[in-house]
Amino acid sequence: MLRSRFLGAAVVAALLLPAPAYARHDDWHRDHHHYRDHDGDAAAGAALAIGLVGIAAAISAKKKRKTEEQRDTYRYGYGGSYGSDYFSPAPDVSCYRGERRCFVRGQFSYGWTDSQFGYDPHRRGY
Amino acid sequence: MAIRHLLLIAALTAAPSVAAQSKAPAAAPNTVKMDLAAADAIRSMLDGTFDEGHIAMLQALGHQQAVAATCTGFEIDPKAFSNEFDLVYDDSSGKPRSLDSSQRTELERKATLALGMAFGAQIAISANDHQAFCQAASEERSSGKAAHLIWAK
Repeated sequence: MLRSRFLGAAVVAALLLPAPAYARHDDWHRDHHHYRDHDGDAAAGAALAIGLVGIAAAISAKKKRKTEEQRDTYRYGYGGSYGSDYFSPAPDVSCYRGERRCFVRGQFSYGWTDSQFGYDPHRRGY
Repeated sequence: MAIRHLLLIAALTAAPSVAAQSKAPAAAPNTVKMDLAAADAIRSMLDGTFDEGHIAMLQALGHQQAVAATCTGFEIDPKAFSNEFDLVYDDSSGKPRSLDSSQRTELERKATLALGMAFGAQIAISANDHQAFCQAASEERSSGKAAHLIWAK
């Protein structure tokens, strides 16, 4: 047991440690007489790391937003994008089948809602 | 060199979000989204207690109450309000429901909550563009297209 743990630690150390060590002693550029601004490379590396962190954060935020939308959909049935069940029976009038609501220029219209989704609780004929 | 890298990375990082914004579909106005969200929440909360006629009626009452509360020249006719609201005591075939006292209390609680949700939502919606909200109500009243309005004449 102890031996296998030691072996595991050694493997992890072998994987982790040599990488920066080799990077430090990389003479590829010197061999080709291709002197580069190593400070610049370090800054670029840092910027790349920051960029990757930024992308990861953006992905994480999008995932979180999606989860929240799904949660709202679960709770109330809304949160997704409205519009798939949209129709316009007249100019300036927009109706949504899922919610059985109609609007004139973005304002609720009882008249249009009634005419498109009429349902009489008392069978009064409207 | 470093600045060029930084600019390149900044551009690459920003590009997906810009593309996502331009690809977004033309969304419904905020007033509509607010209304639809409230409608969904009301329907979800009622959970089959009332039929679609009742739900539409309760939402219409909430809207008209919000108009009366925020727009000049509008008042609620209490008799007309009762005539509409009392439809909750009838079933979907228009006959009075047979309810014991606890069922009646439960029914009234749900109907009142739905009415309050619709009222509150419409008050909030009116704050987006108060003038447009009241103008739309005036046009609705004068057009005579909507039946069973509860505003005093």
